[in-house]
Amino acid sequence: MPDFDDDPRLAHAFAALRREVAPYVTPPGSAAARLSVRHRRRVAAAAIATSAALLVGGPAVGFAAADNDTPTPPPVVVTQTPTPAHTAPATPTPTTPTSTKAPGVPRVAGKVFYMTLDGKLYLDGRGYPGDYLSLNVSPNGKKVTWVEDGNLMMSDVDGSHRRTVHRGVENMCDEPVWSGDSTRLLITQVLPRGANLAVLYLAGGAGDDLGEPEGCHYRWSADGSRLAYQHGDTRGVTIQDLDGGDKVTLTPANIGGRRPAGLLGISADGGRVCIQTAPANGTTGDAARGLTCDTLVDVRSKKVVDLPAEGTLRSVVFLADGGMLARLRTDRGSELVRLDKHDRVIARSLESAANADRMLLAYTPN
Amino acid sequence: MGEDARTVVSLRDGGDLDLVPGFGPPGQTSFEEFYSAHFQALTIQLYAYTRDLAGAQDIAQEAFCRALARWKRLADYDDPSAWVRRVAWNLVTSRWRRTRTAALFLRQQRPAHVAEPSPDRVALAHALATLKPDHRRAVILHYLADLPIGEIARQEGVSENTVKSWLHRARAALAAQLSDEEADRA
Repeated sequence: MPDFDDDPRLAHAFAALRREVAPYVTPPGSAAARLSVRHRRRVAAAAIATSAALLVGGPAVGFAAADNDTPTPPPVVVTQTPTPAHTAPATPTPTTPTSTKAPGVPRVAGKVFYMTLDGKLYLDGRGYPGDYLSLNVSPNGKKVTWVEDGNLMMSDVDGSHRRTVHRGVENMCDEPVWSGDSTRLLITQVLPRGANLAVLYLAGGAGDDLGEPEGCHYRWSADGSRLAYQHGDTRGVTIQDLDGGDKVTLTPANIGGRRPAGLLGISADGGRVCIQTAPANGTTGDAARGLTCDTLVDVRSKKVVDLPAEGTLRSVVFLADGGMLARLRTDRGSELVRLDKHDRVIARSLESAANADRMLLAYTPN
Repeated sequence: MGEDARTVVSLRDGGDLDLVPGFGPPGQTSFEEFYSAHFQALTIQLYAYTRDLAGAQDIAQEAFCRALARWKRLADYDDPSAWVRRVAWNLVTSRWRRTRTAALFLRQQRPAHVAEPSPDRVALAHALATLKPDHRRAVILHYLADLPIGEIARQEGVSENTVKSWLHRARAALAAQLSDEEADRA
């Protein structure tokens, strides 16, 4: 075989290919790119607006973060900084939610994190600028992560110690999610050879390579054993072990014929997931993550689970102790209901009017 | 643990990672100029890899859309085209390409108006199709993107020696394929 490194035929062949194909390349144009980007931002914001408005009757949509090419600023504590689209936040009370006690059981204690459509994160009355597509709070309530220009960023929840954690990370299909013990992050890396699911350790050391992701919006059970993800075509949700084994797939047949338009979370042991459903013939797509869910499903039986509290389910935060914080629309307003691992109601609070209009992002009991 | 695990970077205490080397003075190129200068070349590279001109154009357009979304920052890079090229190649090989755009491609599939290919182009396309994907990417980046070995290594996340090995094997395989094609046509 000749030493083809020095053979000019190859260079000539590629040059000929370039000459032959070039006249047939028809660029859609930079104007089309601008139009596409503007449309995409609207769709991404509208996706969240739609899911929020579905049950919340949500606030006016803010495009402050979505319609801005500048990098998202770091989370910084800003006392009493409501956006113009919202009513004034409640008075800061850092260790208890701004809510009214409902009769019968203790009020919900801990830190409740809310987010608005313009990407601001609220802990009670305090606002933190952030990326609404990917902003997440660690289960212990101490760290915040978000994706900025493809880079995974992290700071303390007060905005300090901002740093870049990892390069080349997805934010729309697979936003980074925390482990139940707040020591690891499940991310999707964008590598030259394709997307790659990986576990990143805060303590350092090599990460875990989980292979190519099979869907979007991965959620991680607090015990670390199970993953759930949404099928890209919003026709199913799959729950599986970290290594891909023991797969269970939920389809529209399991949720009353409706489509799984969003996957909000998975319970601590992976036994339940909470799904935002949409009509079977609806137009809902998977433009970005949603922060609502209306249907709680038992994974093994593939049956919808009814909570022991009256009201319409708005969203859920699954907790590491096996319980959950459920957000319900009741005849009293929007309520937060804390349930233990046996589904017993152990605390209950009525949300303030301002927080009721925001999206529930995270909850830290302690 | 797969081979990609090595690409998972551990967290550091304090400070940012060095993200993009070679920050230069603010760029003067407008997005329109940048688009015009690079769209065709990028599309041809992707076409050589996929053999699908319409799909290659869609992917190139998507990469430029992503560049536009962060143009204020990219315009300051010494070589914004490297960023776009990397994104485009990521898209070609990524799940996004297959799962999110496959249906769109099917719906929007339009005829790729390309003249009847010459025997040489057909031969090259056939030969490229026989290469392993990483070998194919390397040889396309070398001959169509005119990238030096070091730049290919950076884009692919491998060592320069690996790229040299890929190129050597790709060239050898292409030589054999093209020689066979020439013999068949003779």
